[in-house]
Amino acid sequence: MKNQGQKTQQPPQLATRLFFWMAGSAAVEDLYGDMEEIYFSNVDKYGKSKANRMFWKQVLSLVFSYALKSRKANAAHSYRASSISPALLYNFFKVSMRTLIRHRSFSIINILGLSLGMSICLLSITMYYSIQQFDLFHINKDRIYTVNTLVINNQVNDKFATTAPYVHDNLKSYTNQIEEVVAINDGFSGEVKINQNTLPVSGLYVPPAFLKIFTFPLMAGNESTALQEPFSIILTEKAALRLFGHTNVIGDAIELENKGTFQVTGIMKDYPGASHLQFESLVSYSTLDAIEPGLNKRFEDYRFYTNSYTYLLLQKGSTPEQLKIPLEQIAQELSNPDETLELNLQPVTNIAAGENINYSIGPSFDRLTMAFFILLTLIILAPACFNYANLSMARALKRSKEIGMRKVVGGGRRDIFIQFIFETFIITSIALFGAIYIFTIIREEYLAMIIGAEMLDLSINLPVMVAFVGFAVFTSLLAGVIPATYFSKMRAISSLRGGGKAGVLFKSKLRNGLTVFQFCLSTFFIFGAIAMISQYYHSMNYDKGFDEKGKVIIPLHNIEPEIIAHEYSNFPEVSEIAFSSGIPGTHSNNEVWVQTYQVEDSVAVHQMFVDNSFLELMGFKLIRGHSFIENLNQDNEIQIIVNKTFAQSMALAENEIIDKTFRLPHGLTARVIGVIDDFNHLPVMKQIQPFFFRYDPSKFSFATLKVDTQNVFETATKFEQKWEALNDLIPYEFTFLEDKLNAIYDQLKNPIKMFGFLSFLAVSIACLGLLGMVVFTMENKVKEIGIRKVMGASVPQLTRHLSQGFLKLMLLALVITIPLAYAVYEFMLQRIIFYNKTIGLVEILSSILILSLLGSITVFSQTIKSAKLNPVDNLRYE
Amino acid sequence: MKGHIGEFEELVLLTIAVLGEQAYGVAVLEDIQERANRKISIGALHSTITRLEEKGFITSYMGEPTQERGGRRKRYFHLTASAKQALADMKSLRNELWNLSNLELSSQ
Repeated sequence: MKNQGQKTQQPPQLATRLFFWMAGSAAVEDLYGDMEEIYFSNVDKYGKSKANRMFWKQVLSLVFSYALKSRKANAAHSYRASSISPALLYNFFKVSMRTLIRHRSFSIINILGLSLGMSICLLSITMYYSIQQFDLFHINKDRIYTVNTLVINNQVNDKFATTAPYVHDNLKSYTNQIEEVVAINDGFSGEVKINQNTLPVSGLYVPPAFLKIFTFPLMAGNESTALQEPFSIILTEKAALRLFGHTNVIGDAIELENKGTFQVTGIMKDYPGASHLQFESLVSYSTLDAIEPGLNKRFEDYRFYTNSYTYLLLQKGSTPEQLKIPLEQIAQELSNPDETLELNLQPVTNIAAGENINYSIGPSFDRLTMAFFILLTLIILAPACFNYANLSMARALKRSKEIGMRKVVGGGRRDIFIQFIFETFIITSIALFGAIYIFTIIREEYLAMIIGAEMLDLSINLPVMVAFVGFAVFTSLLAGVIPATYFSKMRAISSLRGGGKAGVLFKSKLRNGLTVFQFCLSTFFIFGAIAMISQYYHSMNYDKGFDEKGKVIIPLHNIEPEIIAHEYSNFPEVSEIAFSSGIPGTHSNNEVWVQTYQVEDSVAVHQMFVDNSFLELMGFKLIRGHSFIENLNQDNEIQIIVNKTFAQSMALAENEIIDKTFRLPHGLTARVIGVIDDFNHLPVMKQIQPFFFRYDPSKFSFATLKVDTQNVFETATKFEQKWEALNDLIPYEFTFLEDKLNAIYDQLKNPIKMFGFLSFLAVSIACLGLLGMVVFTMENKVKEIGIRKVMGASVPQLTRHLSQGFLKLMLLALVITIPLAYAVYEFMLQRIIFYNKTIGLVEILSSILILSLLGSITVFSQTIKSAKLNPVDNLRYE
Repeated sequence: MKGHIGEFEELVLLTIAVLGEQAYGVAVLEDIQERANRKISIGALHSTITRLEEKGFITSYMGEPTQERGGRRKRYFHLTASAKQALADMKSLRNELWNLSNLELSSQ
C-alpha cells in the first residue's frame, strides 16, 4: 500500500497503522485516499511537520467518527467477518492432519519436544492445585481460623504463627462469637523407651476440643475423653505401627525419658486428607501443666511461646470481621512501649499455601518454592516453544505454495493465522497426552524426593484436567503465534513463484545464542548427573573400615539376646552371632557428652553397645589395649573402646589414652581399655566423630549373624519360621547389612534422577532446536550446495563445510559450561558428602563425549543428507 | 424516518449538487471550507455523509482507480430524488419565511 511517486513523503506511519487497525475489516480505501490527498496538499501549503500534525488530527477525528463506526458495523455482517464455518474448520483439520502425517519425522520431533517441555509444567500445575486442597477435609473448615501475631517494633514487622497463651486463655471472655478456642503446643517430643528400643516420637499438646474443631476421626478410643486426663496420648496409626508393630495398644503405657509415663487413649486414622497440621501423636494439654507448672504466668513475652498456637471455631453465622475489635483489645493488653502487637485471623484453608510466617506449623510450600518451580518450568518450556516455532518456520519453503494457493483463492490473513494456530493446537493436544504419560512417571519419583511431599496428592482429577487442557491451549498459542503470524503475512505471488524464503525466528546472533544457551544447560545437567552417579558408586564401595559382607541383621524386638543366640546358632549356615545396640555405618543419634580431660568442656561422643564377638565379626582391629571383660561389674566404672578421633579430640596420643578415665553424665566414669582404627560409624556424607564402644547386654537391639550365602531364600524362610515360633506379634525382618548400608545411599539417587531427567529434557530440547536450525540453514543453502557440487566439491568436503558452524557453537557451549559446572559440583559435593570423590577426568570426558555425540548426530544427519542432493534438481530453475 | 434536514446536512447536500459528477470527499470538504469559510474535520464530514446515506438522501459509488491518490479509488456521491424533494421543501419554507419577514430584514 505504498503511494507511488510520493515515496519521499508519506503520512505518519503510526497514524496510518492506527487508522487501519481501528478500521478492522471495514472498507476504508476512499477515506484513506481522502486523508492522503488532504495531507499532500497540506504538505505543499504548510510544510511537512504541520501537515503531519494535521494528519494526526484527521485520523483521530475519523477513528472516533460515526462514519467509521457505521462502516464497521456493516462490515461485521458480511460473510468475511462471520464466524468460521464448520466446513472451513473441517478443511483446516484435514490439511493439518495431512501435513502432520506427511512430515512424520517433524511431527514426532515437535510432539516429543513439547511433551517433554509440558510434563514439568503439569507437575507444577498439579502441585499448585494440591497445595490449594490442604485442610479442605475438615467439616467445619469455613469456620476454623488461626490467630497470627504481628509484632511491630522500630518499623520492623515480624509475622508469627504463634500467640501468647493469654490469647487462647482469655479470648472467649472478650467476645461471644466464638464456639471453641483451642491452644496447640507443638513442643512435644522425646525418646520413647519401648522394651529395649529408644525411638523418637513427637507431637502436639492439644485440649479435648481439638477433636471437635478439626476432623481427625479416631479408630479406637473415646473422642470426648481421650485428651481429658494428663499424660494421655493419642497415636496415629502410623506411629503405633512404628512404635509397637501393631495398633491394638489402647491402654498401653509409653515411657518417655524425663517426661513420665503416658497412657495410650486413642488411635487416630491416618490423615483423611492433606493438612498443615502434621503430627504423629496428640498429647492432652493438661500434661503441659503437669510437666512445666507455671508456664502460662509469663504471657507478656510472646517470644517465649514459640510453640504456642491459637485456633478457634466461630459460631455459625459469625464473621471474622466481628472478631476485629476483641482481637484489637487483646493485642493492646499485650503490647508494651517497645513493641506493638497486632492479632490477625487466618482461615485454616490457606495456611499451607499462604505466605511464610515465622514458626508456622507443618511444611509450608511457600511462594519461593513455587516460584522456583515456575522458573524451572519456563526454562524448559520456553525453549521447547521457540524450537517449535523455528522448526515450523524452517519448513516455510515446503508450505509456501499451499499458503499462496489459499491466499489466491481468497483466504485472508486471519484464516491462515487460524489455520496455523489450529495445527499447533493439534500437535499440542497430542503432546499433552505424551506429557501426561511422562508426568505420571516422574510424579512418583518427585514425591519420593521432596521432603513433606507425602502430603501432596498429585492425582489427576477433573479440575486438574481442565487446567491441563487450558495449559495446552496456552502452549499452542505460545508456540504457534510466531509462525502463524509469519505465514499469514506471506505474499501470495512470491510464494507461488517459489521465491519464499525459509522463515527464521530471530536474528542469527540471537538464535545462535539460544542454541548455545540450551547446550550449556544440557551440559550442566548431564555433568551433574554423571558426577552424582560416580559419587553414588563411590559411596557404596567406599572402604568404611569394617567388613560388611555376608552379614544378616535381625532386630531383636524385645526378645532376649540369649534366646536368639541359642536358637539361631543351631543353623548350619550361621557361623557367628553377635549383638549390638546399633548398626555401624547408618545414621545414629546415640550421643553422650563426655567431659574432656584437661578443660572444663564437653565433647559429644557417639556410642554403641556391643559385645566382643561383634568387634570380631565386623573385623574391627584393636590397635592398643584389649577387648571387653564381659562379666565385669560396671556399676561405678564402665569400659570403653575408643576410636582414634576420640583420642585426637581429647588431645591425647593413642598410647597415652589407654587406662585414662573420663566423666560421663549421671556420675558415670569411663575407663579406656582399647583403641580401634577409625571407621565410618556414620554414612560417608558425615565426618567421622569421636566414638566409643561400650558393653551392656541390656541395650542390645540387633543381632548380627554371619551367614553362608549359598541358599539365601531357603535360609531366610528357615529363619522366619524360627522367628514366628519365638514371637508372633511382630513381623520378622531379615536384611543383609550390605543392603541396609546401600539403602542409605538411596538418597543420592534422588539428585541422580533429578539431574538425569533434567538433562534428558534439556538435551532433547536442545537437539530439537539445533535440528531446526540445521534444517533451516540447509533449506536456504540448497542452491549454494548445488553450485559447489557442480564446481567439484566432494560430499565429505561439503559436509565438513556445512557442519562447521554448528559444531563450533557446541564447542563454545562446552568451553563455557564445563569449568563452571566443575566448580559448582565440586562445591556442592563437598557440602553434601564429607568423604567425597573429587570429579575426575573420566566424568568430564564422558559428559563431553555424550554431548558431542548427540549434537554431532543431530548436525550430520541433516548436513550429509543435503550434501548428497543432486545439484541438477536444485539448479534447474535458475 | 425521512426527516428533517439539519443546517450542516443541507450545506453538504447542496455542495454535492453543485459539484455534480465531481462530488467526492475532499472536493466537498474543500468547497464547503472555501464558500462557507468554516473549518470542518474529515471525520465530521464523513459522519454527516454517512447519516445522509442512511436517511436515503445520498447514494454513492466507487470510482475507477486512477494514477492519483496512489491508485486508491474515490467514492462519489449523488443526491436522490427524496433529497431534492427535501431541499425544495426547505427552500420554499425559507422563502415563505423571508417573504413574511421582509419588512424587518430589508431595513438593515
